This record gives sequence, C-alpha cells and structure tokens, in this order.
Amino acid sequence: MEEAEKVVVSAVQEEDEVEELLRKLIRKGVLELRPSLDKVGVRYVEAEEAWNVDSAHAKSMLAGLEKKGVLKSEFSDRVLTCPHCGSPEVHSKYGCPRCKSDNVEFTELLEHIKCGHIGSKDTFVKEGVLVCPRCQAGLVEKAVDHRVIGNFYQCEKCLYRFDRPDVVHFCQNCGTTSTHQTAKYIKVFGYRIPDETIREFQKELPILNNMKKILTDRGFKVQVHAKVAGASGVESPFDILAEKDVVRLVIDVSLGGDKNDIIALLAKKVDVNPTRAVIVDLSTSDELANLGKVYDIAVLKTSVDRAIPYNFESFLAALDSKHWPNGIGNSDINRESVIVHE
Amino acid sequence: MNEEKNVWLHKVAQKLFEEVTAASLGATFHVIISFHLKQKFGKDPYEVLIENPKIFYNGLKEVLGEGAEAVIKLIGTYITTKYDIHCTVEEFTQLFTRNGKPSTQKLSEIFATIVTQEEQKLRVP
Repeated sequence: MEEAEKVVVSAVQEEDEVEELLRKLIRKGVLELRPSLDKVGVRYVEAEEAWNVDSAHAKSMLAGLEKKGVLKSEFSDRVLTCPHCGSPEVHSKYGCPRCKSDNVEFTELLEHIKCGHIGSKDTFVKEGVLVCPRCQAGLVEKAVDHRVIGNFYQCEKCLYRFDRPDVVHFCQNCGTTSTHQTAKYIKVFGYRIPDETIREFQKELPILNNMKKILTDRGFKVQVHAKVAGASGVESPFDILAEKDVVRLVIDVSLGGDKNDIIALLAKKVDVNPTRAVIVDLSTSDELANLGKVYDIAVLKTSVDRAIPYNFESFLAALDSKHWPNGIGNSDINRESVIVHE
Repeated sequence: MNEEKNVWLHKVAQKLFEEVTAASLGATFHVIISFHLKQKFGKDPYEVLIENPKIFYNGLKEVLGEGAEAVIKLIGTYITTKYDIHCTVEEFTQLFTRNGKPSTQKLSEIFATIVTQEEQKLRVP
C-alpha cells in the first residue's frame, strides 16, 4: 500500500474508534463524566464501565478525546496526590521544624494576671483544673484571673516551640511521605460531550428502531427523524413521527432528562397539534415525569438497557382503545388526546 | 422619543429571547412562540413585552400553559448570569407576573442596562 493511502486508512480507523467510544458513552446515557477519587487515584468510573478498561486507560482515552476536540473538559477541583503512586488518599500531619518529629501539640500561652506568670497551658493544668505553677492560686474565670496571650506548637520530643509546623503528607496507598514541595497538587477535570455531538448520535439510538418496529407492527406509518410543518410554518424536527388514520404521535428522546428537552417538545406540540406528544426519558431523573403531567406530554422511562420504553405497549394499547374501540382504524374519530401518564 | 426608545428596547428583548431559547430549546422555538403570540396579540409580541410584561406572560401562558414560567425562568437565569442587572431570577420572573407600571419600568431598565453593558464590552480593546 502506498504511504499516503496508509495514512488515510489509519486516519479513518482512528475516526471510527473515536466515534465508537462516544457511541458507547451516549448509549449508556453518559453525557458528562465527573471525576471520583479513590485509593488508586482520580477515576472516571462511567467511562471505565462503558469502555471496559481500567482507570489509567480511561483517563488517557478521555484526555485523548479532549485533545481531539470531541470532548469538552471543565475544571472540577484541585486534589493533593502522592508524588509516588498518584493516590489522592493522603492525610496530612504536622511536624517539628527542628527534629522533624510528628509528635507536636497545639497549646495556648496563658498569663496569670495577678502574679504575672506566663506559661503554656499544660503547665497550668493540675488534677484537671487550672492552677498557677508559680503562686499555686486556682484560676477560675477567664479574662478575670487569667488570659490567653497567644498560642503555639510545642514538640513533645525536643520541646521546641514554634508558630507554624511543617506539614507532611502521608500516602495511604503506598506509604510515601511528601511535603508541599514534593506532593502533587493537581487539577482535576470533568468531561462533557458537546450538545451537537449528542444530537448527532441520538439519531442512531437503538431505541428509535425498536420503537419504530413496535409502532409499525401496530399499523402506524413511522418516520424516524421526521420534520413536521406546524401552524407557524416552521418545520419542527421529531425523533419519531407515527401516523395511523387521524392519529398522529410525535416522539422525542431525551438522553439526559434535561427539562429543556420537554419545553422544546411543548412548543413543537403547540405548533404541530399532534394527537399525543411523547418524550422518552433515558435518564434516571424523575424531573421530566413530573413536568409531563403539567405539560400534558406522556413521559416514558426505559428499561436498564435503554432498548425500549417501559409501558410503551400499554400506552399504545390505551391509544388504540380510545381511537379504535372496535379494534379497527376509524378516520371519523377526532384528534383528542389520550391521557396516559406513566 | 419614548416611542423610539420602546422600539429599540423591544428589539433587544426579541434578540435576547431568540438567543436564549435557541441555545437551550432549539433554533425554531422562538419562531414558533413568536408566531403564536403574534396571532394572540395582533402585534409584535416583543412590543407587548416592553409595554406590559404581564400581558406578554399571560399570552405565553395561553400558548405554553405551565411551560411559560419555565421559559421566563430560563431567560432570567441567562440574563442574571451574563449581565450585572441587580436582580435575582425570582425577581425577574415576578416582573412578568405582577401588574403595574413599576414592573414595566424595571424591565425596561434591565434591557437598557444590558445594552449599556454590551456597548461597554465592545469598547474594551
């Protein structure tokens, strides 16, 4: 094969791979990837599951897709990680700046107002009460017989006193210790699939073909990605248009359960005046179901594999019995809506 | 002069309505809604919006039912996020649901502020 041809073939393969990765995410309804933290590091669990890869691979694939411009990254947080293993599970300790021991105590510096003795709080504590170590007077009321004039750290090993301890980070995963100079304080990003990409892939969701088949079997004439002219003259796009006699169903699919999806359908419904407007909600949220009742739009949720809406058959059966009570098409029946809120 | 200002403000309102809804609700949303509102009012709906926001809102409610509030909130969210208009989304929404001249005046002030801020952006090199 010529060198130029090889380059073209490889570019096409790469493009196909990218598309396949995005397709796998979208079909699982993963439109946004939020980072999570565990012992191993920053993870994108949904990507790992969708692509069946480990966390390191998922991260590098996401970064690659972002670099290609097919994913948008958004700053999410800053995370302290181990310089050795990259784990974000580090906890911090304070250390003595002189002997480096982590056995340091934060304490108050007290002054006995009457005799003027100044010392750390621990030297005033005697059998659970405060007693001036110089004059042995009991200290009862703060600001009357004693006052706090400052605070500091004291090393219990070398007794050195200091204002600001060293901060040492201990990795829970590999045991490495690090300081602010050696630990990694990394930026963590979330990723989002751009809306235009989602719309593009939405066109080929398996659920559309599955619904098309069911509707066709019930005698509907079905168009996927149809445009219908409304009263305004605007041609509104619908994911599915199904018609039988005078019954017209318009169906949109909402991948993320965004309420704007149902508002957009509401406006199209007003303009096109179908028998019934349906939105298939692939998300796990209940927001659309609640809005559907208010907007008179049937909201259908789907099975876990997102292959078919729950209750779609019963929804259609209800529609049938309303418009064709004798089990046959009847063009005299008007386009009254069938109220079925799943 | 006042009439001239109103024409200018309703153009701003129309542009904002188009911009916000196109981004969130699809490119044809504003065309559909504008058509049905025009049928209802018998005149440019954005003129109505500037003259009396409550009448505009009631018209929108006749077209979209309960969806009207969501659309106004969407516009309010966009405007309060993008511009410094000293008004919360709730306050913005209330301008459409309350009767009276103060609401009309406040809404005109908001649109005028938006124009000023856009002009200032253009002046910054």
